Amino acid sequence: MVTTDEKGPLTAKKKSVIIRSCDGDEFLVSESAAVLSTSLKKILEEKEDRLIHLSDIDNKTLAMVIAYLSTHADDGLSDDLKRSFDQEFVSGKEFDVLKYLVLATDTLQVTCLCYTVAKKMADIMKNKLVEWVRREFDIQNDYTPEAEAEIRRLDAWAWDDRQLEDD
Amino acid sequence: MVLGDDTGTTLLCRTLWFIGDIGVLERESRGLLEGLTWIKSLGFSNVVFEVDAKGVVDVLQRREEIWTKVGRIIRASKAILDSKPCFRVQFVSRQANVVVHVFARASTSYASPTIWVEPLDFVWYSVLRRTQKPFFGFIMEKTKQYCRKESIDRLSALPDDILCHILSFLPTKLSVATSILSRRWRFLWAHVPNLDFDSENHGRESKIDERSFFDIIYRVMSLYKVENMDTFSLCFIRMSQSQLETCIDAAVIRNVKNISLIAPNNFPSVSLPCCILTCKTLVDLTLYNIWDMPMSGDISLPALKRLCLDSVFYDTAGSLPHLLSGCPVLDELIVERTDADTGCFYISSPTLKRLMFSSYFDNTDEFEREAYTVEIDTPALSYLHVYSRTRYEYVSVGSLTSLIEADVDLEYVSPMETDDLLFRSTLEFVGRLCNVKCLKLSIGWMEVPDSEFSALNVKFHNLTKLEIAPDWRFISNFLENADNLEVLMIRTADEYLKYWIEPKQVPTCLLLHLGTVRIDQFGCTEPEFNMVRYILRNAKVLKRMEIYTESHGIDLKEKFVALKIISLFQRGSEACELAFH
Repeated sequence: MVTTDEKGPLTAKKKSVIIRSCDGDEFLVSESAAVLSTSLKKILEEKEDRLIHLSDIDNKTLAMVIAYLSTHADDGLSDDLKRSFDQEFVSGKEFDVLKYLVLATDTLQVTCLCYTVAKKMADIMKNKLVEWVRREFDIQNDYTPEAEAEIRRLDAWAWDDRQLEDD
Repeated sequence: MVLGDDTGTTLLCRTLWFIGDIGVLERESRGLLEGLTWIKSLGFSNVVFEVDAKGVVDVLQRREEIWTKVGRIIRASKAILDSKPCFRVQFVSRQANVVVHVFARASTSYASPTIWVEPLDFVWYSVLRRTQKPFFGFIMEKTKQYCRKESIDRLSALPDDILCHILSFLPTKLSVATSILSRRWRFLWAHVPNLDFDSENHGRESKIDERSFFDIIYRVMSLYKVENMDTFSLCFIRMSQSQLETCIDAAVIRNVKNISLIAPNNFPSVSLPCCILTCKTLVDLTLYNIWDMPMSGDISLPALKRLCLDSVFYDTAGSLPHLLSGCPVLDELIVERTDADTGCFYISSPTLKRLMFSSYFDNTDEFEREAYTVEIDTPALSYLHVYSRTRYEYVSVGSLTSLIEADVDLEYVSPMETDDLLFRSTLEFVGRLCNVKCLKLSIGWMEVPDSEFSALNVKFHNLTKLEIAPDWRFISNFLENADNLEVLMIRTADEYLKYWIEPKQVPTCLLLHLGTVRIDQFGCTEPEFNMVRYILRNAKVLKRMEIYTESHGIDLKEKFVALKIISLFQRGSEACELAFH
């Protein structure tokens, strides 16, 4: 009970920003969390308006980014906790989800999250067979068989021990 | 409209057509009204209507009156909702509503509005049509195409710079291997800011000779497009001096920021390519097992912040000071010293904030003492880590006024019997750390005469957290000198080092600040009980005392007896909790 009593005036004192996703949903974010994104910070510096419309980020992704920003803006958490949060944040997420996340973090310029997500995506790609990567990531092979063979011949060293190799 | 049950299985789908150009709100609200009417006519109850138009849901929930065409539709919807209390309308994001959109599009290829009945799979439909003549093949193709278009080339849809960012976490071999994925990926790797070559990645040692490994690097470098490189790391087994220089040159020309150079442990060894030492853009340099660090010649590393020298061999004692003199903004230095041939080790930098120094060598030979001296002169230092696993090493430091945290671990491996100089220099070194806030101290294998401890009569005013092992005589010394100590952690100690010397008068920190004490590997010996009794009796603000017994050697009965003894000790702080594990 004591904590809720304390929280009330505290959150009221903090400035907040409304962020609207492309789905039209609005998220209330504390300004301290929003400014962790370089893009949002710039927007907030330029305009008085407390409403920011992000036309290319959907609800689900925006909710994740905001969860991340709010955690990192929380002074009460230790750096170790934040680091383990980061690990937890990307683990078990599907590649598709990560793709939207990396795009959103790139747009919003949240450097550290962009780094974590990109690293996770690289880890997923590591030691996968070419066909696996194409299949999982839906990349269409637009090489002719001759062109593909030529590439394999030129940089044979890159496939010499069957890492990222055909199955 | 898609009708599903609570497990998410699709039961029934229906499409309706409206001809004409109408606004979003009207379109969506009409859709909802049609849905409500339809479901009502089917006689269902307990239905949740998921609508992906926020506007409609808002208007419905706000219960505002709108006197337009839209308002009439909304009012009709409300009327149905009011008559059916088990109907609920809620908003759902467009993404979650994808199946409806698939149907909406697919329906346009039909001759008329349609109802589909289950079973329906989310993506691949086995569509049964009830009302109209089916166009099976066609509709299947259509929906397939639509679904494919959504998911196709998910990774390729990302912009090139993000893809390069992702590739930068892969070893170069793997990022080059992605060129096989598709045309777009052909030379994407050439724009990745990092290059990471590891001969381990290129087949077994026997398979790759120095020529072919170099050829690979040469080919990559010739196709490489990045002008401002981020990281160049190279870990090789065999490479000639000139080949190495060519590689590093190529990176330095590309304004590289970070270089990591790891040479093999076996011979032949290579010397440091001298072009590294004048690289203006270099921020972070890691060298492992590189020979011939020069003591003269040009050194200009104006941007270097972090330097890691692991098992580097220096020409003379002057090599390291010479190198450091060329790093005007150095922030962090990591040195692992594995040979002592070059004599006194001198670390001096006015800007250095973090220093990690460790020594591993076996100085059995009777060299001059000079050879095993480390002199540290770093006035701006805030973090110091000294780790020594040698027979003996003399550490001497200059002023450390900005020091916040120190971790000192000097466990000399069977030192010479009585080496006055060793313990005097060690005690003096500890005394120099007097400004720290957090201190981890582990000093072992040194028989310091009790009388010598008086030399350590320096106040540690800022010290709040102390972790100490193994020589326990340091404990009473610190209790007396660290007036603001809040947390005390005592780690393992050999039996003969578990002396407990009671302070002459109750130390200030026990009266005012010490709140937490943790003792690891409690061995139930006399001096240990004495210490615990003393702390419990005199610590007036102690909140928690944690004692962990050794996992071996102490049986349950002995533990129980120990707990009984300790719990009977008089406590100076009523609030003190005792945890015994």
